[in-house]
Amino acid sequence: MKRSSWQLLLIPGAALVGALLVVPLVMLADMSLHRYVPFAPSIVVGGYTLDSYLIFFNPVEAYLRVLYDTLAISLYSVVLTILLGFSIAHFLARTKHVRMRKLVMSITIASFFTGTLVRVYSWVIMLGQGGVVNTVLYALGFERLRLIGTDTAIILGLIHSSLSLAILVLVGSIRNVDPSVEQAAWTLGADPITTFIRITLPLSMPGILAAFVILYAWDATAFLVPMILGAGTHLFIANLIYDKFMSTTNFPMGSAISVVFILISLLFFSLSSALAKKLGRTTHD
Amino acid sequence: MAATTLVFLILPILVVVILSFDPRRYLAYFPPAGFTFKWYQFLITSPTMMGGLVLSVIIATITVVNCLVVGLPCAYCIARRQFRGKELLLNFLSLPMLIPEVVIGISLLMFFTRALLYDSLTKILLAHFLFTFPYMLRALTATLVGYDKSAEEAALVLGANQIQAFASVVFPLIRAGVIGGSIFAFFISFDNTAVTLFLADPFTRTLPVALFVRLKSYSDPVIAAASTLLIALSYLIIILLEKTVGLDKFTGIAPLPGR
Repeated sequence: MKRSSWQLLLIPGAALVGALLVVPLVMLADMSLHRYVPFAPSIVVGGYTLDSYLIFFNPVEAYLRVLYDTLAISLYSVVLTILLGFSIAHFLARTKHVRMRKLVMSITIASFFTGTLVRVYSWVIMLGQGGVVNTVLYALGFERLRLIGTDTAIILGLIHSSLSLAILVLVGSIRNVDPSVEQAAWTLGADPITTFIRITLPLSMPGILAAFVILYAWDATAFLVPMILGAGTHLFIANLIYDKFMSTTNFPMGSAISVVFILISLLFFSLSSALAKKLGRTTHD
Repeated sequence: MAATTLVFLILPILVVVILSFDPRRYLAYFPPAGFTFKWYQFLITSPTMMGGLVLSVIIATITVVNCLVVGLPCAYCIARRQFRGKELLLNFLSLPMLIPEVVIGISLLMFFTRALLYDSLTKILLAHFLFTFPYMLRALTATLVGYDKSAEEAALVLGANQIQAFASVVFPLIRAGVIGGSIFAFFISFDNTAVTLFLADPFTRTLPVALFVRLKSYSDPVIAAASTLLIALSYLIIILLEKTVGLDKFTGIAPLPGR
């Protein structure tokens, strides 16, 4: 049996991803270094320039604000999602009621599979002027609130769309925490809260970290949620890029923003990889 | 707290289902004013919607097959062999997960135009493969790392060659993971709106794109009806999953970075 032939198996995957991903991204980077000329007969005009990047990082312009909005709002969402998700994940990992567990699991997975569009739409119905929340408020005698177009709406939408993913990721890692360690803590006199803080939580940290990274990537690249629930007040990076390409046809600027964001994501990803390695344990092997 | 969270999870979806029966043309007023099936009737008879549904299913199926064919060998190498740059390769192949769909859509559009590829369906299939592949790869890698290798070793010791061992021992063990990963990948492809939006043309509309276009023009309960049908479909698949593979196996299959 040939010893090195198995490496050939990797080639189709790497080649396809390489062609479909790297080449377009290189084109994108190339585009970002050109000058933006409105109404020019061809998109690429003139020589190379760092104009777009200079404009992006200029504090006077609004681009950094959008970046901040994206990263900050996503951060709030992820933290809340992990908190909420952990409660259900812990239940799923530890409960003895088989039927309850299967029921909650099906709800979680079904929620995962409902599409983004449906979800965003349902929140429009929940938070709109004539929606559920406002109808209840009005019936109770309060004023209707303008909820669509606030960052709260976006956060709710983001939490709702990533909650199932969070639960699925967290359950695996909570399961890996050996229950006998928890039981040992109980026999030694710890109450449930202490056990949780000093035993369960630290041991499920790799999973929580993994969930944090993937949820943050998921939320920060969101497009539909900030677009529809934010109604233009809090643009996310994805919306900004879309706008640059589609509305103002400022391809260099759109490309520049994309490049900056991808670099930030890569940085974030590698930092968390390093952190995960440092924590020592993996959750699968 | 878990209970409240569950309610939070279910409530908006429930509202959509309830409102899909609302006879009024404008949506988003909560207490529904009546009960009707007419939006469902419209859906079933609408060529855009039904065509979109069929197209989405076809694209998703082909994408899953593509990902499996390319991904299984890759996952096998990554899970079972040591080589330099393995970590790097896995991260490279997962890159599409990190890039906003908008960016993928636009850059692919630029690329395909310059490559003189104009056929919408091909473009969509290539794009769907690209962003579904990382999820499939990670799910498969997780499965291939996690199964009990001693059974496979036993088979090899008893005289089976690599292929026989794979077919009769390894494959049944990883079947659950493969199915789970496939279903996951199917929905990633099926649900995709942003990337497909850039690459579709008026003759090649997937269901999410058709719904999105409709959402922009009207705000009527047709979308609620479509959503309800999709939700029902996903519950059906859940039940199917439970009967064949068992839902518990689904956890731990979700992709994890930083490995």
